[in-house]
Amino acid sequence: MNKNTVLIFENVTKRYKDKYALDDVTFAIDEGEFVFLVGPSGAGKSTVVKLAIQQEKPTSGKIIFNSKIRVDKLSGSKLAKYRSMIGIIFQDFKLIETKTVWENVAFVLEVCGKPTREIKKAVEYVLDLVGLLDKKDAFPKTLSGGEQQRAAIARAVVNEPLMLIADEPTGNLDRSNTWDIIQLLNKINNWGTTVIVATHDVEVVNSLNKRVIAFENGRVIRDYIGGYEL
Amino acid sequence: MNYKTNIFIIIARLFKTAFQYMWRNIGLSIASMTVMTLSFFIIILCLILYYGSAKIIEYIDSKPPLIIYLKGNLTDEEGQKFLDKIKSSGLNVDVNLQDYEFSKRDFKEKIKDIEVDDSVLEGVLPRIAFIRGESQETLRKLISYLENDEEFLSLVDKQNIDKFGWYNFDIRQADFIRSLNEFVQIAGIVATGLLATVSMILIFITTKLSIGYHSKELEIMNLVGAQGWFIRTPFIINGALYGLISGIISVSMIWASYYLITTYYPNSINQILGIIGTVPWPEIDSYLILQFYLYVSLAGAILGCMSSFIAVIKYVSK
Repeated sequence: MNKNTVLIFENVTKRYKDKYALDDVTFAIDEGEFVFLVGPSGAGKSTVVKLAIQQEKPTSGKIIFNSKIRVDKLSGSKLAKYRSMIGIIFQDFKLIETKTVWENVAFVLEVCGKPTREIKKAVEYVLDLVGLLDKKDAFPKTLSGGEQQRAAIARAVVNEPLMLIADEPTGNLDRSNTWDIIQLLNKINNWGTTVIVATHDVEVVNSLNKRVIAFENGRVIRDYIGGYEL
Repeated sequence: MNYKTNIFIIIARLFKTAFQYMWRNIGLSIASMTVMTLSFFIIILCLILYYGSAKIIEYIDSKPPLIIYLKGNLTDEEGQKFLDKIKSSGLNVDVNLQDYEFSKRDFKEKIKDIEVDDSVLEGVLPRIAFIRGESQETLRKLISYLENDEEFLSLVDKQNIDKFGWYNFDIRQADFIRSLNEFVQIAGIVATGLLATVSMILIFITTKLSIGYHSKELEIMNLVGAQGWFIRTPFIINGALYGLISGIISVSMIWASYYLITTYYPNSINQILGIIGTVPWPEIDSYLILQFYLYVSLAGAILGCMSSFIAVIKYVSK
């Protein structure tokens, strides 16, 4: 079966003054893949995430989504539309403190004008998936780190994204919660969603035996399937 | 996306978000709306004072200010003599010598409900001459010129103690109303400009603070794919709501004040002006009240919209 390429980084360079965060990086990620971006702090993995969601723009090179969208060229409403097509998970969860778990998840669909009945159905489904249905009316501050991250995952997947990007999703969690989150991401991947996880957690990478793109000093030094090998 | 975008649902959600922003900063919202309400109240009061005094002036001007009571059986020749006498004063005045029928009508109007036969009134009432001058001072000069003139005195109504009368208004009150009108016109423009600016600045600051308060939320909204207009519009609606609500409250306050004054102190305006029984309260019907609500609320909403729009353009990053 031919798989579409979901994300392409083509000779991408990101430079901050004299420092190269990424230096001529090229890789492609296919539909349905689970990819770990690994490396020590400052290696460039978080920069890849920032460029993939266009929180920042590359100094040079191309970033292509779903074979047709030039992510590095997007702006305004096209950028918003692109971001609504992907799911993003952050290390600090980035949940809206003044909204309940339910409202945080529903919000993504509300901004698109989805009917209330459909929103209810979709939000209920994903909250059940992440095991937070009983805490739907809770505010983020009242949840544990693991629960907050699960709420963030529910928000990221509620719009049925083609690609899920996670930047250090287990960085603020204990081992038990880390394992829960990784299992959840794996489950989402098994349903066909492309999952990209930037992490420096050796155990997490070793636990799944998936594709690993290893970074060092802003360059890709290895691209393989297996455990954490730096 | 596999679903149709429903514009009404989106508008409803924008309003919901705007109300949420308002509710979360309820203290700030109330403070802003209070100041705006007071500003609108003063602006409306200036407008009412201006148009009210203009109406009174119109009322004064529509009535000839000086009356001369001539004898009822004045002949045409005597009438002409009277007109010549006025002309000989050299003062710039307009004279309107009424016929005897006018005197009868005027008398009947004054006694109102009492039925009087026309025959009873024949020859007993004075002929009335209305004199309108360019100023009250001119009319005073005319009185001085006429009051000791023998020829003139032979033409006036002997039965009437007063040869001259002021029609409804005294000069000082009329002059006071004119000065009030001029003052309110200038002060009103200054106050309106000043208070409208204060209101705009206030909404601008409130919107700015609200944007700051929600900055993290806005960043997250951006990252999860909310369109720019979806992020910005609630703040603009917020500003419009501040103006709209303040407008409604201020008109209600004006209307309530009017209702209370006219109910409990119906003669207060006349007492203030010292013109008893002369200035009727303006007729306020529900259509006028509705118009007031509509225009003031609309002006408030536009004002709020404009200032919050400026704040949003300045402080919400694209």
